[in-house]
Amino acid sequence: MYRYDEFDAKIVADRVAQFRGQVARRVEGDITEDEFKPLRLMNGVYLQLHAYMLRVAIPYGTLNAAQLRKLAFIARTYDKNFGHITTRQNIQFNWPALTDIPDILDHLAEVEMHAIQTSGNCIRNVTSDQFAGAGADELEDPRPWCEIIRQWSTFHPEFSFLPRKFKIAVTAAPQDRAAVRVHDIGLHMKKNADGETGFEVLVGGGLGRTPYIGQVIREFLPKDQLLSYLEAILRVYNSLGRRDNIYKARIKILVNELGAEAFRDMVEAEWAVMDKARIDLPGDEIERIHAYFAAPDFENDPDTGDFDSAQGADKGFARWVRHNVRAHKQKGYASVTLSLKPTTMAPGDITSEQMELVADIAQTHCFDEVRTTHEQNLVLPHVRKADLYAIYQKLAPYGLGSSNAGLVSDIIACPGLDYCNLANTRSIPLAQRIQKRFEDLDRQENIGELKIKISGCINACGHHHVGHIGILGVDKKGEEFYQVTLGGSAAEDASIGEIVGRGLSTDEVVDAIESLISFYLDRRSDGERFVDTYRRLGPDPFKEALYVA
Amino acid sequence: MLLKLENETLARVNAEAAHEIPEFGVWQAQTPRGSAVRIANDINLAAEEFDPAGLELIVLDFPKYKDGRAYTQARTLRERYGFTGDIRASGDVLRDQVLFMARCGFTSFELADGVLARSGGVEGFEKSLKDFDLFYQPAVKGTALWRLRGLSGASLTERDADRRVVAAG
Repeated sequence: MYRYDEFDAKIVADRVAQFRGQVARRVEGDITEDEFKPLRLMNGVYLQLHAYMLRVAIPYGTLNAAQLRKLAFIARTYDKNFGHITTRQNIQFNWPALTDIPDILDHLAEVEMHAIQTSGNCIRNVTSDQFAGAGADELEDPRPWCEIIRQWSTFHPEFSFLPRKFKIAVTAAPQDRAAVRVHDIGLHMKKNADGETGFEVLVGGGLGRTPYIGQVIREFLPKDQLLSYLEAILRVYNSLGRRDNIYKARIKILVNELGAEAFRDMVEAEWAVMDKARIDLPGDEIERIHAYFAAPDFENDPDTGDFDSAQGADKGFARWVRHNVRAHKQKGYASVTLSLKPTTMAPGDITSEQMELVADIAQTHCFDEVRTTHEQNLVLPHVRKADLYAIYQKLAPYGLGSSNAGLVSDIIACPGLDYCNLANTRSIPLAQRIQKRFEDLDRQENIGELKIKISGCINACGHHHVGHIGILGVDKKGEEFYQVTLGGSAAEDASIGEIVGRGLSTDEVVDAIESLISFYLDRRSDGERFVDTYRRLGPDPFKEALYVA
Repeated sequence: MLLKLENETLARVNAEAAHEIPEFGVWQAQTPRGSAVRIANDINLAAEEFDPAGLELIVLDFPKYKDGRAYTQARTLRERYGFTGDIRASGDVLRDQVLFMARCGFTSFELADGVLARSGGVEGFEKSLKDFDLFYQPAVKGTALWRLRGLSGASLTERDADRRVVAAG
């Protein structure tokens, strides 16, 4: 993974010093709250319902053991002993005191971490495939390009006060696990006719109040021209993006008002007159960054030990392997999803003790590497199959052994009304009630892949638009209601779910979800996932099933 | 209240206030055109055929400090139209944005009443201007880190000397 040199370290240290000064000036009253707000936001500090919240960047979801231990320390010392993994692969702490935050940032800086641009109207933490560098299906590791984007976008002087926040995702596998089609810019690495790898560039995707699937504005961008092209897109957006209405300020609105072709023409015109050689990285810098992401020192076809026999002897392990263990590009290795979706905790929450356990396992068994996922889980990317059973046995006592990756209980949920001052409804208790209803693992396994995503308000932080089943919380005269959408997807077959009818009360909603699923089970053909059956049969019969409950 | 950036230091200077300077449309209609113009931040300079010949001062506006359109305008004026005169930031100009402004090519800063007093004076602004001395990306001002990294083998302090050479070059 990327390691700071003295320059990176100095930039982060300077940022902490700057923020410490800004907090002091705010406490003195020299900066108004209105002036301070974007300054703290650009450093990941939100004012939530009950307290300040600090969102720490995990660039493209890659962590090492020392970093995870430091996060555990911060959770224990400054929070209530847990952190929360977000849909941008970051981690947030819900209970720090504002005056402690500069000290927390100092602790983070010790392990090459920060909270830079995890909020605010700037370019946010770039996200990627959680199996980058491990997946058998990828063209190449996309993370060096994520790091290149991270550096370019950090304190970009022109693009720190954009009309609205700006999110970029990069993936390099045909199966899109980074949701690039619902990002402001999605970069999908592909090969052209000459066999060279470059980027397919999509713009204007996004969720929120007005969901859009991104549109391709360039089929193939040579890799070494990435930064100048991004700069051209951002420049058009910064000039023309709407600033009169916060709900129409994202680039998706601009792209759809102008039309993708007109937007592309403006970007290409800007790009044509730009001094690209000044902006794009030279080959030796691109190589320098790639060198940090060299494949770990894999053993050649290592013995798989008790991997097969343990699955025969331990049905729980066999089930975990079926759902949470994934093929690796290196023979004898696998990638493992550590589910943060037990029924006992909020989706994405992780305790200090769990973080420390994962750090120990990563150090011993996984080349000192851990990933966070946009689905709010963790991944051990490179584990020898021979070590899997021992790892599985260590996880269960810590509540990390749930065998539900990709299943009905692997729910994405926003923090909701329990934490967030934007939310209309609670999300976490609903997620837990659904998890409880489908607790039976055989039943979950029979249902198969099913992505439920819950947002507590129209801002869609829980990605409900792209859930196979999406649930949106709405407030009706002080009462919580839930609007169900069906048929969404954030993957390579991206689509926005359709609203299927009136909102359901808190009492109705779990039964309604269950009857939808029962209907699917009755009507599915061999091998069909929920979303496949929905697409085949259309909304009407599902709508009927939803409201008979 | 106007601060001018010269040789990495800020100095208070006297000058006519932004509102006395002709707006873009008025300036375009002048014959001959004057040496100063005020450009509103909703004018898309990329779409204009703009000739800065004869101009000594261009005033750009931040109606609110959160409205960042003038950053792009300043870079466009410097990098696309080759403007070398004074670019002044006016409107809601605050200490915490002054480094971003300077990096995009602004060379003077017109402050609203009371801003300087609660910003630690000129020194406060100068301090913010020096919050960072390393930059990941190129802009009008400030060398991109990758160019420094390209200077092989040098340590941070050694490269610090080189950086000024690179910046000057």
